[in-house]
Amino acid sequence: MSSILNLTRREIYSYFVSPIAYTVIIMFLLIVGLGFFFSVFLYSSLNDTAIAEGNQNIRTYVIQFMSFWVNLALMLALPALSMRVLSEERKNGTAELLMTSPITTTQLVLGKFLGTLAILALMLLLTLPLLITIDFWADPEWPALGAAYLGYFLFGAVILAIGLFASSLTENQIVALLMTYPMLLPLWLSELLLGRFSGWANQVVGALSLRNASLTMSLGVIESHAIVLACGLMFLFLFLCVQVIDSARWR
Amino acid sequence: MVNVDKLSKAYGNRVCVWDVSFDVARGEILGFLGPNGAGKTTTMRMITGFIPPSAGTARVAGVDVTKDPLSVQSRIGYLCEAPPIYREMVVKSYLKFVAGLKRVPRAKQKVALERAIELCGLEHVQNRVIGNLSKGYRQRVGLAQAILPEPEVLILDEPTSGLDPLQIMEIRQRIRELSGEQTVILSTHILPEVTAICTRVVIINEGQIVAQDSIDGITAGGASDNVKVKVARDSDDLAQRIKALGGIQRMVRGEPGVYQLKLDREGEVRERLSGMLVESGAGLIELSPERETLEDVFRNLVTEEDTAA
Repeated sequence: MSSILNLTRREIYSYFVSPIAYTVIIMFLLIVGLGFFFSVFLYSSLNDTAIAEGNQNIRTYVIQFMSFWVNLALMLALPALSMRVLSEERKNGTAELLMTSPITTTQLVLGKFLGTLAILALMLLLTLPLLITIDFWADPEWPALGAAYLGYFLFGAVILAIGLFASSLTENQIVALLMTYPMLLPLWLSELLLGRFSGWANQVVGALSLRNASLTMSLGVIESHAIVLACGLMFLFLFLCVQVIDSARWR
Repeated sequence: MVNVDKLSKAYGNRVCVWDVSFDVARGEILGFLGPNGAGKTTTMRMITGFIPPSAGTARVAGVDVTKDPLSVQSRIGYLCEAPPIYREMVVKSYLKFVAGLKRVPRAKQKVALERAIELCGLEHVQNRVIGNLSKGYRQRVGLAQAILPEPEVLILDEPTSGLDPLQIMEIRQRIRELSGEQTVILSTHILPEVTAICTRVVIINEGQIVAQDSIDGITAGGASDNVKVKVARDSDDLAQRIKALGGIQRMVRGEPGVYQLKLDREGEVRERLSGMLVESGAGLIELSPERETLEDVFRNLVTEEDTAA
């Protein structure tokens, strides 16, 4: 465990002594802030009757609308964070140090994954001031918001696991970035195919829809399916990542 | 301490290392010598468990690398060809990270860190960012990284490449200082380095071992004697007579009166040569055996291999 945390510490250290973390976090906050502004603006332009009739409270309106922006920002920001994680080690030759040290590949991947998760957690924490401003003029229903943030975190963790896997495939960061999207977008867009198939195919498409899972959570519903899907995808991509690194030795 | 037994590595149908076997005893400094692309790095990578061998085994302290890589890796310090550094890190933080990576117990980390910094002469750069250091210092950081966990076996892949002569001398000095307590395997394509540091040498070419012995043994060996002859009154006739003597493999006539000869060891060639020279009345001033330098041995072994291939 201490080996894993040692790797995690170094990962976080590297993010913050180079401009990567700052750039990614600022980009993330800009998009989320913009989304927040739009949703509050729209909400305040509704007249009272519309709010009363449409059962629109600040949570379902602002938070739900905002969650689209958070997801979008995560999809843009996180692959930029994960693309360098393993590819850079290979390019710099530090992979040789790591792989001749007494740590297993699983420890290596987990240590690095935890490092990226820490940045994700920080990014989400930094959006809290937005929610606190809601608290000034309405009740944002904090428990429901907690569920929404758990959803964001899980969604982000899946993106990072995919990004880590992509990063293990190549020495080139840009290639790693570009490979992340073809793996991520189908999971996000599979919802569009819903209803186009029948029977089990439709169920599979629905079950794999990361967007659906994330939107459900953002409504304040902690849904077991969403958690199982996210954890399953995380496990799958981290497992593949370990396999890729191990097999790279045999080439 | 390190036993390499019939180690081979092939990538596709390109054979990189073929049937390499050698042993290194505790406290020895083994020079692993070969031209570029001879398979030195590949062999070292197999000993460290970075890549698995296609055949054969590498053991460190009796443990097979492929069976229990973690146990072997906790006994070795490894400096690969390009120092494995994180350019964005400060020297001290980097070494701390390596200490954790190599599982140096927390209580010992501080002492180990200070020792490595001192041995590699990094005191006044320890708080600087590695990427801003000169190439020589980066190499030293790489060396510090390797010796930090005080490993039983130290594996250094071309530790002096890319350094200026002064830095080379310094790094060699550091490595010599380590000998005795640690077993060192060191690869290089620079010949004087081996004679300067190593106690034993393995010469490898095109993936195969062509010679291995102690430094003294390897330069004394071979089927020929080198002899330097100096006479007072040189003549073309004398040169003819030397050639006609038989058993002379090679004759180089340098400045007037000086001959470099390579003689067969068999057939008392040296005795016949001296007799003839005295008889000729050319005025023999000097007839001295010359030891082959490692460079000669290396060139011969490697070129022989070339013509055979």
